[in-house]
Amino acid sequence: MTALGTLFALSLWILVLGWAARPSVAGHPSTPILSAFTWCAVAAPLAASPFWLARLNEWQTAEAVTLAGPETAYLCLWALVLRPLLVQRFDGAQLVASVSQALVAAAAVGLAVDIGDLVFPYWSPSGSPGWVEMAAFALLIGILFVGGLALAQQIDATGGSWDYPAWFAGFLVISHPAASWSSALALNQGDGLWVLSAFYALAAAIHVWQGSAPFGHPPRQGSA
Amino acid sequence: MRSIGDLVEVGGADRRRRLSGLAALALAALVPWVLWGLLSAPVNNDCDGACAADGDREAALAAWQHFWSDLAERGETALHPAAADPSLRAAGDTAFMRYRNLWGSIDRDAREAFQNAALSSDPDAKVRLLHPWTMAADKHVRFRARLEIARIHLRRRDLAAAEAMAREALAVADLVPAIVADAYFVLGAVAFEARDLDRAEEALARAVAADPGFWDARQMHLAVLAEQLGQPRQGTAPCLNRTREMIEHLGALPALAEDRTQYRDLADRFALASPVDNPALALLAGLGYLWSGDLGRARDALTRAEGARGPLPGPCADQIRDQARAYRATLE
Repeated sequence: MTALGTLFALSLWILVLGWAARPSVAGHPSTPILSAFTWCAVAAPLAASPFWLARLNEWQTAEAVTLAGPETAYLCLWALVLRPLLVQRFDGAQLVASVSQALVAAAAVGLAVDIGDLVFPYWSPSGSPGWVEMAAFALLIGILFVGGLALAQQIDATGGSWDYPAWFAGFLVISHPAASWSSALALNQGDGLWVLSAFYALAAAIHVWQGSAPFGHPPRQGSA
Repeated sequence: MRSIGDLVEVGGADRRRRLSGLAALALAALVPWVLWGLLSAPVNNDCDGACAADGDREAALAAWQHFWSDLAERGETALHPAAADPSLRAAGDTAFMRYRNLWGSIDRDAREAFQNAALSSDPDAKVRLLHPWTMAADKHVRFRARLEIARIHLRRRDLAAAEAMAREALAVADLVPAIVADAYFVLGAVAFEARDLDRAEEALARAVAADPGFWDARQMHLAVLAEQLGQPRQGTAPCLNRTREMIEHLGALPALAEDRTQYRDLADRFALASPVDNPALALLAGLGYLWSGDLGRARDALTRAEGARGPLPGPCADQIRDQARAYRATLE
């Protein structure tokens, strides 16, 4: 797949999120067409991402997959099981919601890595990024995190997004060996603790800005 | 009339709308950069990592097949390094020990300084004696002084100083490759000591390439490659190349030392040191026993290689098992 796939996926994200931001659509949150396009936007980077396609190719050819093992992101895995443990509830609906958020996070990380690989080599032919490039890496990852969070909220209208930062941080940490520029940010350092903390802090800040309880579901009340 | 639940839902939708708008704007800001990246990218950018990996795998497979056909045609002598220089001696981890004629034209003062440094048992005194010669006019003297100081630092486990001095030695221009190999050997030893296997592998490969008669470099490269082959998550191309290079060393080391018992020593080393199910190391042990004449042990090791399901990637392990099967068939 060409790098045009990256542009296509990015364009689709912008279109879907732009559409979701229109007041007329917001008044009718469960528009089936918007929901279908949201899923298309999630599927596009997964199906067209050079990063994920290269991993798929490695797996299909019995090659060692250039991803770190899941043990490198064990803190993220703990974060994923923490909420079911705390609320002592784990059912099929929560599992489906978590898997949905995992797909969105994988798409967002794939898009971030593809855009990073596309743009940053030309900023630093020597391969040793300076602080401006590192800040740009961080900004890129932050933007894709926010874009993914917005899509995750479109998919799970009840607003639960506890799992999304953990999935996003986990995918970033395990993608470290395959994303050359990510070593500049040392995303795998400290067992991914600082990456995980940073994304939860960012997600909490966004929830506060949105005026909702961090990571909480809106209260369900009976009909008047 | 709307229920409270509907009103809450509309409020949630409003919050999502704000976030979606913000995200769309932020993502839109990336579009110019992506377009710029696309326009700046090479024309053939539709392959990305997958094509590079495919190319490496095909090249490694071609080298692997050529290696085995050469071995089948010429036997183990195909692995013996060509000795172009009659002054080559197997022992010696500096080129001046291995190639006696390299040091012949050195002036007397320099020669005495190096001899005095060699006789001293105090590392600091050695460095003091050698240091003035690191800036000598003669490139061979300059190189050897830097190299000897690097080796002293290495023996003292001052890895940073050893690496720095070895790099200074490499900065000396216009040397014969056999001499340059020594500096790469120090770099490889430093990296191996620091457990940086990738850097050790690369530096020692350069040392062997620069001087195929370098027994110590081959020996250390063999050890590094064996450790690398025990690592999980390696690609098919590195796995095939590492296995091939190990067998090349296995064939070259006894020839360089003019001592065929080394086949057995090496085979024992890999048979005993690899209780794990590693087909590459089992194949190496089998070939070592085979070339030393111990056919019973060779059969056992090759049978083990055939059945091994170790940590290697599938296509690489398949190739190794095929070779083990072919060699074992010749022993039946």
